[in-house]
Amino acid sequence: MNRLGAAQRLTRGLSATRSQLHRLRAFSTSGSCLNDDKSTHFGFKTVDKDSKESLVGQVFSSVASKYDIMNDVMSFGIHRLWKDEFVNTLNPGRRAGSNEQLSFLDVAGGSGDIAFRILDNAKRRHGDVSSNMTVVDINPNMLAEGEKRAAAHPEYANDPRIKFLVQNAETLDQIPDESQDLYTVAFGIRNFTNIPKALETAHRVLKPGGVFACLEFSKVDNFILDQVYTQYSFNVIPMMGQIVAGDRDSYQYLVESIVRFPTQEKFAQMIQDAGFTLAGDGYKNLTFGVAAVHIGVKL
Amino acid sequence: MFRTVRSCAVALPTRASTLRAYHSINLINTKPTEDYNPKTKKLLDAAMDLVPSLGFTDQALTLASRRLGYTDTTPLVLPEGPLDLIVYHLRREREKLAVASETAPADPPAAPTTPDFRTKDQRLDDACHELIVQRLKGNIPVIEHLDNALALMVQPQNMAESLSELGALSDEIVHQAGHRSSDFDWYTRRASISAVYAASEVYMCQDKSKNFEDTWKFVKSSLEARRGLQEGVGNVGQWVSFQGIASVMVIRSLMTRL
Repeated sequence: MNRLGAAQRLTRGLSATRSQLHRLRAFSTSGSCLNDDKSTHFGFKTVDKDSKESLVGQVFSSVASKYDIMNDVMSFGIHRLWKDEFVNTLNPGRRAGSNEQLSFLDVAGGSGDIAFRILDNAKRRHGDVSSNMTVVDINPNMLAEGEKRAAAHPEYANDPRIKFLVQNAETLDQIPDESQDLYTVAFGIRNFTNIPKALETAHRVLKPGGVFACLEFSKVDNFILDQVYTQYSFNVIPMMGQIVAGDRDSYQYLVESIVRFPTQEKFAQMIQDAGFTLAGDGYKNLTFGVAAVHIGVKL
Repeated sequence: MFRTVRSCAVALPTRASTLRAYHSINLINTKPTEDYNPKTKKLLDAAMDLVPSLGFTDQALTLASRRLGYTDTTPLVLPEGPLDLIVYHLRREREKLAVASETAPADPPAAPTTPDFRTKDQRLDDACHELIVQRLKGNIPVIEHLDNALALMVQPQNMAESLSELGALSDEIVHQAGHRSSDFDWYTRRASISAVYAASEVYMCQDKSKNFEDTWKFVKSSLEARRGLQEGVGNVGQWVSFQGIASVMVIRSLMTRL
């Protein structure tokens, strides 16, 4: 009896995924007609551009307090390795022979995960304890999480080098032109309403030679793994969102937004279109492409 | 990335490609540094100016960025860092060989005072020798750091890249030496040039003689040894085929008598 129930649930789960995939395919073929001025994607839904920001805002306000534990549960803790690898690749920090402080900008960095790692790397690998970090996030709830963590951090509590600002990544109106050495955005850019505009803004705020670096979910490059991954993300993640955070819809959105995000090659092209010079191919896959690091330099 | 570099070469058939019979222009790009983004190339050139003093290092890249008015994060544009710098050095020196041959004076060489008794193969070998020496001379400015570069190049994850550069170099050398045949010799000659070049480069790292005289001698003797080997193989082949034909004749004559 139990086994039968489980089997039914599994079939239901599979058919749900199949229908989701159908919807996805429908969207991807008619993708171009969505690129009008008024509408944008919110997961698989098409919504007004004006409302996406508030919808995403609701998602992150709702998940803010459980953000960390959910990341750990959903990725089996791998997101920490990705973030480590991301910062390790960038290897930020002032190099010997210069007295100029560097300015790091972590966008959509409310949790502070990347910001602390960058400062740690600068100190540990380059002995740089003077470079500055600006953490910006559009969502005050997420930013409050980061501030709370900074206040509790043994090293960065009351550190004047870290600044927290509520900012829209598409405008960054409090960040001056050509003021930053490194712009990072980790697992944030797919939630932006207008990604090309955010890339242009990144180009604006970076100094000549400054680096745009992005860590984001991407397309798995192995067909079989991709099947497993799709099943997992459409069936398991929303369910875990329900169980752990008591919020299925927000996690359903997160999963859908991952599928909607452009492929590695396409996103690299978008970075190039914003005026950046790509580093090599412009991207590096992590865990078979579940996530990818994109790097563009303003030369 | 490098695959695209090569496919570019295929997509752009130049005037040179029509002139260069049997030169594998479809596989190897003869102007490899032109495929770099101009601004990246500028950074690499600036870094190469610093290599004689700083070596193929991150420091050279950082300092080059600062000199060009960029910042400390800029070298991220080269994902492999020092290895990218080494590969750039290899490609730039290979390109110099090609450019040197293209810009060489076109007027016919003066009539030889003594008749040239060398065989075609010998002439080819001498030309290869000259080109290998010319290419090795490109290493002199960075000779102090060449051993580090070689150590990095032979690491397993970098082997494919290094071997493909070596292959491209021997292709360039053999082609410029005037080799135009497309028979099996195409492979053996490139293989032996690759082997001689790689060995000579390692020898050069250790060479303390004045003006690298010992290295040039080493190149010559290695090429001669290869040549001896090639002749040996050729002689054995000739002997085997002669004996084979002879045996057939003997059997035939026996058959007709019956």
